[in-house]
Amino acid sequence: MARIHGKNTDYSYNAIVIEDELSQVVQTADVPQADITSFADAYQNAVAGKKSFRTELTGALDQAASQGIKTLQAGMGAGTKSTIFEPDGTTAVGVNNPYYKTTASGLTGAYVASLRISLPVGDKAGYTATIQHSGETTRATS
Amino acid sequence: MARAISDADFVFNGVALEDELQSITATFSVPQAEITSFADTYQNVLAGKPAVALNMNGFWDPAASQGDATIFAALGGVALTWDFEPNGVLGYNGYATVESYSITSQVNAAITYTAAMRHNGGSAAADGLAPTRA
Repeated sequence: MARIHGKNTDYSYNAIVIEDELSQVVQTADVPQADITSFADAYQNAVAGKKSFRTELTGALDQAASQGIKTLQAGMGAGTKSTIFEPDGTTAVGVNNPYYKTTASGLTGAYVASLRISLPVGDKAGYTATIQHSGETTRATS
Repeated sequence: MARAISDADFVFNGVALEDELQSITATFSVPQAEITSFADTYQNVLAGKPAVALNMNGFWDPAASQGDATIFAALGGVALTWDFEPNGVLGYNGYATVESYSITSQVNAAITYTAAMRHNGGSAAADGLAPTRA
């Protein structure tokens, strides 16, 4: 019955901590459904396919060499990278304090699918990025 | 002429999630096959096979016995039991697969999630039967 604030969320891409510039992280898992409805079925029928994950990031632009934009740009068109998403920013990882990770290994890991920088005249410079996970994303408890 | 207050219960794979959910929508839909002919005055259709979609949103709870662990474990798996009682007493149940699960962390708000499920069985996974209204 916990209600947890998002203010302490942690996120890292390729081992670079970028939660110090992010203000929103959305991780989505999708499972395509294969229709198996037959004439004998009373209701529509489907079975689950292979799951996939993507993460959408929103943050303020930080052009420092060790920060997000340089790191994410370097990941575009490159090989897979590791990511870690800790919604509650927990440091006491356990069965009740999980985090999500994808670990770069071969075809497994995360790609930068898109990166959009906005420079509005009346607001902060910001960016959004979509990270497409390839292969396994783990709900880690240790 | 009853007006039920919203005191909903929702259970997925035997785990009660109503203590973290704030909205549940069960949508029963029936695709309509168009059969309008030139001789018809009005458009004409026939009903196909019904479907049930379950959509919910709530507060992310990372405890092992709660929604995050339960829904994450169901991703890509066989259909599991669901039971939705809009007034906390009577409702519908069956088997459903998880179609999507999204976690949102915002710096100025509670951590929330949305999930979408698809009914595919009445008394067993993928048996193609209607949900039970009980």
